[in-house]
Amino acid sequence: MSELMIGGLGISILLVLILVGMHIMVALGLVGFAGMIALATIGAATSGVSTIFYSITASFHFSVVPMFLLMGFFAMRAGLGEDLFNAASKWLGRLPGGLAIATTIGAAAFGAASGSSVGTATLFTKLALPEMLKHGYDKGLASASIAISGTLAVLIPPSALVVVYGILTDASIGKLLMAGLIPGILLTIMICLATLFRVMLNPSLAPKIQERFTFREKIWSLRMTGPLILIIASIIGGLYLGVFTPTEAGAIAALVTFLMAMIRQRGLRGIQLRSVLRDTVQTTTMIFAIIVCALLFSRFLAFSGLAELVSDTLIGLDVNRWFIVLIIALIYIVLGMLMDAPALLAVTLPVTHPVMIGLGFDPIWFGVFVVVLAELGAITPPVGINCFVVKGVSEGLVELEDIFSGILPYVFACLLMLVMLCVFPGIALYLPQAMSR
Amino acid sequence: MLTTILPIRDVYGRVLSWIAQFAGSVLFLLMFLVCANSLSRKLLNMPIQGTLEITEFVMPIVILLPLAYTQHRDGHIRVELLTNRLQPRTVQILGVATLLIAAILFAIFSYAAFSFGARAWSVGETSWGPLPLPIWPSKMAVSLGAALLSLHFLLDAAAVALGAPPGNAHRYPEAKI
Repeated sequence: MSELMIGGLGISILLVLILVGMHIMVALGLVGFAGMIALATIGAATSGVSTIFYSITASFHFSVVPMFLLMGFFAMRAGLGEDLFNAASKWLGRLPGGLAIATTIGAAAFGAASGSSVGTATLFTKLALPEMLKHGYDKGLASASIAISGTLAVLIPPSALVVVYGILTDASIGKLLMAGLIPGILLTIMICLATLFRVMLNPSLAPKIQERFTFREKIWSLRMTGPLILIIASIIGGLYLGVFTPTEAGAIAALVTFLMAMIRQRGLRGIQLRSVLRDTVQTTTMIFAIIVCALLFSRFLAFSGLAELVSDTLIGLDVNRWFIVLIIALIYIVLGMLMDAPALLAVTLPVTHPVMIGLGFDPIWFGVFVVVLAELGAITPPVGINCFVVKGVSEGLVELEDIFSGILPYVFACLLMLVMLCVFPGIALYLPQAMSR
Repeated sequence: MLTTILPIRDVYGRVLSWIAQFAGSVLFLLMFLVCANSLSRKLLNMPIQGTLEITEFVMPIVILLPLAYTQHRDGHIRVELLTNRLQPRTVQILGVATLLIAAILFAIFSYAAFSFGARAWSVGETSWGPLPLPIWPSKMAVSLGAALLSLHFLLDAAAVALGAPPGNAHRYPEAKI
């Protein structure tokens, strides 16, 4: 059997194993390990395993992942989501669809700190959904705006998923984090506009809020959110100016959110530190298990020459490179319906990354593009994970059909974002290129 | 039989929970160390010697020892779209097969990493830099973490073979990314 055939067989077996319910990291590790034995020797395979497991985990740079996760869990305990939603709804609540817009803005700011798409969607379902329904908002509008707003968490820095891309493709983590900022803000604005236009076209979706707040109340609502936004801004600024490394930024952000949680909960007890630490470790381990096994698989594919062949063939084809981008985007949207974002990146990047680089795309740009795609997968029917989260957490307030009925405008907003990224790559690349290092 | 396996798995889970607690506490302390180093370097121009080495020493332990804990909490990602629609009997067979394969794979990984760690121990390998720390404990963490996970997969396989539901994902949805 030729090496290419072994490579092709490996990919097919991987997909079958994933579909029959094998843990994705086990499937990646198994195919990578067995494939290395088939292509080289047992010795090469076992030393590959030991080296990758050790070298990827024993890394100062990559310890940024648990730091970001720690920050996210502390942000949750600090009640920052509540404060952000309250403040945003006091300021924006009287706009058409104002509470949905407040949800998007609040989730974007909270998501910056939490970095978790599912976590943000969970929290805002609890906070914002009952509030919107109480004010007579349409179920579809209310629930879909939460599902999409959760996804902003992984694009706006600091984001652990972006770091996962950086580890898998050996790209600069600092640059990747910066690259997500402008697209994240743009997507937030586009989601708000989508809500605004929808409600202006059909005002019955969201009755106007009658409550008024004095300017004093509005300013007071910023007492906790103001500092948070300042902190996030200074972390992003510090990264941009090269004042600290991503790991340091993560550790400082985790410490600050820890202190905010202490203030909010009036001491240590309310933070439930032990369970925060266990949850952080659990998510860290899940992410690294997938990364390490994916790198094993990726090494096998590189060995087989398949990734190279696919990209050479595609590059040799006389088609527009944007046609290939379109195909890759479709693959991500389909697979994104099946699995969580970190698993999606781990399974696909060993093939798609070399192809895109071969076609002359910037790896940082592709990182942003892929993250937006992964998030599009998270809201697209029939199995968008964020929609399931909203339904599950709502405890019967909304059904999946409600969410899907309202999701279409936001799917369009995401697609428009992807098109804008293609037409104006500078949206993603301006900041990383202007960075001091 | 199932009534023997499940309590064993629960007791094992408690041990794993201590391990995760330990790993989490180390991470928490590391957060302070990295902050202190960063501030001290920026403000006083005096970095804390050895921050880098200590981080690289503890990270494999923090990340890999709790591999089995994550499995205990059903935290490793699986795709259940297809298997949800199959006959219960087929689901059971697939579950036992995939879990057994997983147990064997991680047993092999553990063995491979053990000789890797043993070599680091026998030659007395240490980290580079101002604070030379031994490398072998971090390398052995790879082996120990994989061994603990392999054992958990084995217990899971036995439990599913005896009729327990395979995986109960979404039991702990709060700890997903």
